[in-house]
This record gives sequence, C-alpha cells and structure tokens, in this order.
Amino acid sequence: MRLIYSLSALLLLYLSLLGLSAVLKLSIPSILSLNLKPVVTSLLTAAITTLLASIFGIPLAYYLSNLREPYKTVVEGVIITPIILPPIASGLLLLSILSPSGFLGAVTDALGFRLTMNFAGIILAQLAVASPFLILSAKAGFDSIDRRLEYASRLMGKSELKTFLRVSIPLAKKSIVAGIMMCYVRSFGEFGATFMLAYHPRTLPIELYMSFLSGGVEKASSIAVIFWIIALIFVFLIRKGGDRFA
Amino acid sequence: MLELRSIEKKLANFKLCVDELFQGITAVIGPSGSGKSSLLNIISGLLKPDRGSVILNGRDITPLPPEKRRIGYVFQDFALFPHMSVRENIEYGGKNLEVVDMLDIGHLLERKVTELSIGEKQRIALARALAGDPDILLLDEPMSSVDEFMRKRLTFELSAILRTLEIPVVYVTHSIREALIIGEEIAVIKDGRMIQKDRTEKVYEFPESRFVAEFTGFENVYNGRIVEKGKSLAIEWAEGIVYSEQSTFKIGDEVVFGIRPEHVMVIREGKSLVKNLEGNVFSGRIISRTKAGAIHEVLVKLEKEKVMVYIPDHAYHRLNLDERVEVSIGFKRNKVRIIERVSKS
Repeated sequence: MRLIYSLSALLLLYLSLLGLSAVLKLSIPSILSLNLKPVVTSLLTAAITTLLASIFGIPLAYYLSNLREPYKTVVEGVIITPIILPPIASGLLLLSILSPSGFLGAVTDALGFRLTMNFAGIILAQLAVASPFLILSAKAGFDSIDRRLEYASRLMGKSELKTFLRVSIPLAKKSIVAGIMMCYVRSFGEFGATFMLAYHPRTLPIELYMSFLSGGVEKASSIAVIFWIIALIFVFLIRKGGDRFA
Repeated sequence: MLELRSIEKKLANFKLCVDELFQGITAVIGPSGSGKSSLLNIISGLLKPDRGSVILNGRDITPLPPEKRRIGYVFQDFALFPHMSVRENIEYGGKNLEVVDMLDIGHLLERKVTELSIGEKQRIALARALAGDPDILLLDEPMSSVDEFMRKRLTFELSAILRTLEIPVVYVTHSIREALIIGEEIAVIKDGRMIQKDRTEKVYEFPESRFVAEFTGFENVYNGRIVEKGKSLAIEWAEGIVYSEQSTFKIGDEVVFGIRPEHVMVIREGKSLVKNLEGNVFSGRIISRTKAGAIHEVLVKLEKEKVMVYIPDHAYHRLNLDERVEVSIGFKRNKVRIIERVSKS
C-alpha cells in the first residue's frame, strides 16, 4: 500500500505544480491590463461551437447509438478520428479543403463568403476537434437507456420525435450535459486546428502563443493564469452539474 | 376484438404462424422461446409480419406504427419512466384518469417511481396502459418480477381488475397457474404455432396433445391402443387394460392418454370399489415421495409404468403409506383422458 500511495503522491504533486505556478504568476495588474478581445472571442466562439455541436451532435449520437454493425463501427471511426489526430493535423487537413484554394472553400468563396481566417473558421476548427467529445458522451448516455422505455412511449401514442425529446434525452441527460461541458472546455482551449484555419481574429490560446513569441514566458503567463482561473470555474461547475444530474 | 389473419413471421428457430380471433381475456402460454413475445411484438408493431394482417376492431393496423395502434401494453418489469413521477407516468399514457380510482392508486400519484413496491408498480403500469383508452390491452409476463410470496395474491387482484375491462386482453405467461387464474381462454403456443386455443376449462379438462396435457398438469401420460368400445373405451397399455368414459375414438386407434396425479386414488385393502373405478385398479410399490406442504407427491411403480399420485397429508397417514409400501391405485373412468391419436409413422 505504501508504494501505491507514494506513486500516487508523486504524480499528484506534479499535477498540482500547475496550480502552484499559476498562483505564483498571479498578478492582478497584468490581468487587468490584458486585451479583453481574445477572451470574448474565445468565450463566444466556444459557445456557438457548443450550441452547433449540440444541435447536430445529439441527434447524431442517438443515430449512432441505434445504428447496426458494420455501419456503427464505420461512423464511430469517423467520429473518433479527430480525437486521436493531433488538432494541428486536423486543422491542416481541413485547411486544404476549406481555404479558398480548397474545393469547398472555392465554392463558398465564389458564393461570397470565406471559411477561414474569420469567426466561421474558428468555429469550424473548434467543431472538428471538440464535437466528438459531445457525441461520444451523449452516445454513451443513449446506449445506457432501456430501449423498452422508448418503445413504451411509442405504444402510448407518442411519435418517434416526441419519444426522443421526452424520454430518450431526459434519460441520457447526465451524459449529454457532461458532453456539452467537455465540448465547451475543449473548444475554449482549442489551439492547433484554430491556428491552421483562423489565427485571426485571435482566440485566447492564439493570443497566448503570440504573446509568448513576442515577449516570452513573462508576457504570456498572465494569459495562462486566466486559463487556469477559467479551468477552476469549470471544475466547480462540472462538480456541481455532476451532483445535480446524478 | 383482435384478429390475427394468416400471420406468418420467420424467426430464428421456427416460423410463427397464427390465424386466430381474440376476445375477452386470453392467456397465451408456452415455454420460453415458443414465440409468445414475438406474437406480442407483431400485435404491437415492433415486429412486422412477413405475411398476414393484424385487425383490431375491424381496423387493419398492420401498416401502422406502434403509436397509431391504440394498444395498452404492460411490460415484463413494467418499464415505468424513472425520470417521471407516478402522476407524470400515467398522464404520459393518456388523459383518462378514471383508472386512478379504479386501481385505487390516488395516494401514490406524487411518489417517485423508484419508491414503489412491486405490486404498486404493477398497478401504475396498468393505469398508464389504460389511461389512453386503448382498444386492446397486452400484458407481457407481468408477474415474472413478482416474488413467489406475493404472486398468488397479485394474480388474483389482477384477474379481478382485468375482468372489469371491456376491451380484449392478451396476457402472455409461461405459468400455467397464472393462465388458469387469468384466462377466460387459454391459447397454448409451441414452436410458433397455437396448438390449442379454447375456453380455460376446456383446455384444462381436454388437452388435445401430449404437450398441452403435460403443460396443464397431466403428469401421468401413457401410450395405449383402443381395443374395445362400449359404454366405456377399453385401452390396452403396458399394465393391461384401462377404461375411459370418452367415446370419440375408435377401435384400433393408437392413443396417448393421461390422468392427473390428483385424480389417482389409493385404495385400501378390502374396501369395495366405487363403480367408476371398476377394472381400473393396479398394484405397485411406492418408490419415492416428496412432501409439498399438505400434499404428498408419491411415485408408484407398477409393473412397467410409473404413476405420480398426489395424496393429502391426512390420507397419507391414515393409509400408513411410506416408501417401499405396496399399494393399489385406481383411476376413475371419467378422469382417464384420451388426449390424442398417435399418427402411425
């Protein structure tokens, strides 16, 4: 047992260094002097991404949960790939399609709007990286539902849509909420794919990177501290959410 | 009224073929994997038949999705919505809240589903199924999650409630006890076919196959051949001749006949026989016995065949019975039931 405790303690100590470092770097004046625009950009784009991921991802999760093999494995593969790929690689692959020289980007360009280097680009980058977390979590929730409950609802005269809204979603609520939170957190911190698709307007992670390039650790650390504070808030929210939906 | 018109459905191990009318309360009974659940699934719309139609009150519901069929359904473990209160569960089912009074569940309405006892869950499930004023009520083994201790009482209660309904009821079970209590009719299903469907008393008294006979409690079933036909039929079997009062068979027929263990009499030495035991007495020895409450289940070995006999405790002791004791047993002529003709093959 002592060995187990010692091993645990070492890693835990290392992880808490993040907090310690953030506290050491915490400087109210430098935080207050921060450019707020990237903070707002990140908060806003992550919210829109999460909203879109929910609107499209929850039905997709349900569809996936009901899908038969071998289709299930194929669709699941498509959804898991972006989780496994380094975001920067996902970003590059997307860029080759969505940039004005890519085939999809060329089409939208001709129609008068671009998919890169703007809010749309940020959201598309975040969506690719973060929505799989929501989909997989919601799917796990749908998987755990007793299917006879849905069937019972149908027999009580409720359509498939009504059954989905009033039985399936409420019963999978806990996993869906967890998925939404993960999706938001992941979108908020997204760097790699965003860097490829839209390093402008700057999100907070891009801003951090740019500050680091121009001014080193000293300049960038206050942004890292902001991230740390936001992470703390999320930890609190997730705990609270977990209790509420338990 | 429900009509299953030439329904056919290919299943994993056999083809389900049903062509029957259902009125009143029908207990559909059969062993696991006999097609009972598939039958309910076809009626309720979860399973599409390969052929045939489902007609409910003259309306062809075969192409309709489950929500358009007007079916009340009580699931095996009730499938109440855990995220809704009792009231919400019932109101989800429909607007007819008269069921609340009928089932005496007013005091449960604000409860959580997880706080209910099994008997309460059953009534809520029934209320929910009936709240939508369905055209038919289907119940899928609603007693299977009820423990033995409560099952008898709940079966009686449920039976009384079902008898107040004015819609057809199809009650699926694998328990003959439940089927006998619940069913006005019993339909026995085996390998996807309804091998006998009739009034409950009729199925109980006159099983038409060895399978139904054994299922309904004929523990003593034998092969024989009809050798004489007068007022009674004389059947030749391994132990000689036995008489039955049935008359629908003819001389030379190879038959299966049976007698229930509760209809086998143990005869005391020197006691004169009642008339309908005449010629139906055989001697043997008790080779095993089991006491189940007030009943002794005694296995008597005749020369070749074995006969199961149920004897009440007091009679068992009065007759000084025990293992290895020699006994005479008698079959009342009107209780020897010829079950089916064996097709020669």
